[in-house]
Amino acid sequence: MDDLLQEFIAEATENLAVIDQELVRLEQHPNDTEILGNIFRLVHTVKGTCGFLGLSRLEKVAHSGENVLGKFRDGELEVTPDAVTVILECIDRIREILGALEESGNEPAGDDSALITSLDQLIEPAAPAPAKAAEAPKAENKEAPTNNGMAVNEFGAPIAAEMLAELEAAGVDLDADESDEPEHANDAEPDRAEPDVSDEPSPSSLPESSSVDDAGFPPADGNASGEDKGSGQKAIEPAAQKRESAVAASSLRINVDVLENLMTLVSELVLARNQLLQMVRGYDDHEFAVPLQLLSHITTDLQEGVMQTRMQPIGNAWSKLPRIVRDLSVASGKKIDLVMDGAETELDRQILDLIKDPLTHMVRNSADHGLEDPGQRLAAGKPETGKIRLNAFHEGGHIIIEISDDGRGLNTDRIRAKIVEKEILSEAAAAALSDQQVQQYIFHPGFSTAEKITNVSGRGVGMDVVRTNIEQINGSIDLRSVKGEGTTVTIKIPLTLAIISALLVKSASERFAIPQFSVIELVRTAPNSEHQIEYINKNAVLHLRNQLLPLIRLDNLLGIAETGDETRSEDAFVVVTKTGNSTFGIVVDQVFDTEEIVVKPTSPVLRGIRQFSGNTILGDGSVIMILDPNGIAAEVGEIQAKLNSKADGSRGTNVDDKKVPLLLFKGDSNEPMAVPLVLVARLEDIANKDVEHSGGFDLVQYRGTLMPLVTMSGNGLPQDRESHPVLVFSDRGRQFGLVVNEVVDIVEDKIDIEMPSSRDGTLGSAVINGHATNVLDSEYYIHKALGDAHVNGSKALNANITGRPKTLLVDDSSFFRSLISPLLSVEGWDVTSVSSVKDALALRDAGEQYELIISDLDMPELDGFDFASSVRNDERWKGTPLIALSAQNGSQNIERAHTVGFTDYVAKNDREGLLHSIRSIMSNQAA
Amino acid sequence: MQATSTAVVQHLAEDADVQQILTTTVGDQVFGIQVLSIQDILQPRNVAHVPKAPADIAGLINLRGRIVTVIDLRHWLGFDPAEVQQQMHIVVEHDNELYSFLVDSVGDVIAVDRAAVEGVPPNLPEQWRTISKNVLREEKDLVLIVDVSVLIAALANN
Repeated sequence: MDDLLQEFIAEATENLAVIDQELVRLEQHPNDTEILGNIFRLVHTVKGTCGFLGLSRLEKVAHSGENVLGKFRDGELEVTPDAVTVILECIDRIREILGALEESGNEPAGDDSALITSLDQLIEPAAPAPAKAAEAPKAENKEAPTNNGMAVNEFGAPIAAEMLAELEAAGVDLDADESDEPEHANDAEPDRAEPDVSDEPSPSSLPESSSVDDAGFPPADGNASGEDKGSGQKAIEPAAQKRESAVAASSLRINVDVLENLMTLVSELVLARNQLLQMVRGYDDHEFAVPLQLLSHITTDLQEGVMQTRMQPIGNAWSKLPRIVRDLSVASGKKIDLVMDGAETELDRQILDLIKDPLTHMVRNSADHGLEDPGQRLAAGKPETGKIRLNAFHEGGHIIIEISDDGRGLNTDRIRAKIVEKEILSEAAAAALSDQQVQQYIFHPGFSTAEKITNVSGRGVGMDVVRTNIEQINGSIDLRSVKGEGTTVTIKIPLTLAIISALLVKSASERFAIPQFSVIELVRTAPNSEHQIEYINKNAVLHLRNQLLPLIRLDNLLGIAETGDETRSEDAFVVVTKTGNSTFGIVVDQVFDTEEIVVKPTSPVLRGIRQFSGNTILGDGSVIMILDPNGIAAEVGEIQAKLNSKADGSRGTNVDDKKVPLLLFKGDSNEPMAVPLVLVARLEDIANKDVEHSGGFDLVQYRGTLMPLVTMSGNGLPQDRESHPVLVFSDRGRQFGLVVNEVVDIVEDKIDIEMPSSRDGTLGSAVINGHATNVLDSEYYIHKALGDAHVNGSKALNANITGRPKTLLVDDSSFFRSLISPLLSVEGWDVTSVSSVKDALALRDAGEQYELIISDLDMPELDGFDFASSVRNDERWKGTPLIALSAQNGSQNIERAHTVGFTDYVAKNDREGLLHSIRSIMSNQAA
Repeated sequence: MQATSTAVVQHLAEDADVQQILTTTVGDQVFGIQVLSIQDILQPRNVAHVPKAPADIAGLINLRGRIVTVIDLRHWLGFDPAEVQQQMHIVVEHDNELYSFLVDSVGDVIAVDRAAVEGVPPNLPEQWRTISKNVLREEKDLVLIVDVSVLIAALANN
């Protein structure tokens, strides 16, 4: 049976027991509002839960009972024994239904209209008074159950015997109805105490029930049939009660504090065990080996067991959602389909409780703000029914929960306006934000974009509260939204808060723990090794696989640096850490082991230090602090924003706005220069004394090879300095260094060459960062340094700068886009680059025309083959030459590319090949 | 002054906890800590430093699997740092958290003679007035009775 249902039954059984007692007390003290309030609350709870579980029959009965109790409570109805009797009957009916529910897992079918009517009659004095109902047992079908109530009434106060009698009487209806369901009848049979009894009533009840239903009202000779089956019912009743208590007994409700305490103790046990293991480590054969191993196993099992008590399927937090969405859909007239995947994913109860409200809030948001009205959806070419999808799954030590909708997406213009209106940013600053950045502002405190406050959401509980709640449990939240396509919120939360795996590191002779789940990789840095710490404007960075990673030195961050020298030892470890959107490196002196640690909250007097999320005791008994990657990320924030903006830029916008990260430097004569950052492999500082001369070149020994150095002027190295900043370029496995005067900064801007250059080595001038800047022609220096032929080849088509032919570049990798765009730009093309096929096709729909399209083959979602088919099957771009770029050179791939309509196929890293292909295609076109 | 001290005595009388105090010295001052609030008295030991922590927090120690926040009373009271890091720990529990006060030496357990208790004079520095509300005249010494909860609350607010 469903866990949730089981829990509900256990809880409801408990509640009903209390209600019984309270009702009896109520009769003795009819005016005790406290008792009434308590009963009302309990019935209300049962009713509310039924609603969530979709138990409509139970809900109806409880609802009517609640109505009457409400009148009692408000003093509108007098508490009379008659009335209490009817309420008790109602409670018993609930109990019966629960019994059947427990047995079969389904709500039994049945008709409660009679009971409900008698309850309603208590409220509606206009209806025949209950006392008169006794005279009319045969009159109307609706009156019949009142008869039950009255019959009981004759016994006086509701005592146990009377309740039993009621049950029997009520059981008549129920039993007859239940047997409509053959499956249920079968289920019930083995449970009956005496086989001979079970044999008898079952068949007899079937025809009876059908006759009841056919007639449309309960049997006129109710007493006779009641007696008939009373015997059967009696047999069932004790069994049902036994089962009720069985569920109540097999699931025990324990105060969470008790569990917490157990958890702490087990954690200590684990630590003590670890200490013991450490003590005997190194002794191969000792008398403790076997008992210690046993202890170890038992401890591990115990730990898992205790953890298990805290784990619950995430579906428990979702159980309310279908109801909420249904209500919303009715209230708003939208059609909503709620899909829930991965409900069985388990996580710590404590976390479950904490995410319940944020999840509900976000689903409400999606339904209320995210999804459009059916009319709007149809107009936008979407299916009428909107979809909200919840998906939970494990990833690493985390649970990822995605809440996505296919609605209208975030309105970035409105958020921008709101940012300005709320005076969070100036208008100019808001306008400068990328869409992705703008979207993040919905997490800003006090930010709600709902134009009208509906009764559903927009009650001042904003996404900032959601984010705070998530971050409290070490989680992170990320949002992606595409206008017109929908919004996806991704929540990442740890499985448990209690025990985590942590990496132990050392910085300036102090040890710290970094939660393992935020560590991506470890990089060892040393001078002359592949990975070195470099500096841009005094900010440490690491060039790691074509990405510049901002670094933060832990000792500086924590103020424990032994010397003030920022560029001290380069022999260090970089812990590459990811949290939310940001990735950065923490520089530490030493890395030890990973260890399972028990996170203990820091004492209140230390809670203000945001670099730490807690503290712990290690196996050796020492106390260390646990670093909080989120807090550190905030510290790194500024550097991060600068370096990461390129990623944001390419993600948030549909059409790449051609902004690329540029390295600004000063050339020989101190003129401002720029080069796309992706072209630069490394930044070096090379000492004069290391430079050697050979074959007319300045050379330097660099990572085991000789690297030629070139200056921009072509003259020798300036001798007036001890060392030179060098940009290292790498081309097809060979490297060369370009000596510059000074490395200035990294900025993000467009390369819009306005003035072509007549000077070798520069592509021309562009306005970058507000200054006229020469853009470096790296190709020129590659040829110069590495001695290739056609030096001026790259400028062949550069003559006509206005009215350039247009080309479209489709590649999901921003690296290749920024690599190839300048190359094509230099060839004389006006390049539009987009990151997906979808975006490319959107341009087609927008009526754009290109003379050439270059597309990557391997892309997520729609790949290059899909793109080509789509291009060739539509009149608009049918005739446009199409070049495929691919990292794979299999003949199969090439063949397939030609089949789907690519004009040519070029390996991705073959820049010369690409240019050659373009030229030959264009000359064929011209011919 | 007389009125104040009467009020204090009444307050103390209601507070059954302050019947016996442990005398300790910090700098040249004797302090009294309520015996019933004391969990442990520990020998000098290594204290794990917490970077970025307020200077009044000496660090953390492990007491049988629980983490104890160590409070540097010398710093709080404005004395020079101890020349040798050989201070004793007086561990108290407050709000389910353990705290340890670093003291220079530990004296005796003495019974509080209520008649000898007075309010602290107003001319003491604020830090001193935070730590103690009552002064006990004990032979030739004046013993400041430490108010643990007020001190910890003050630290948490810092």
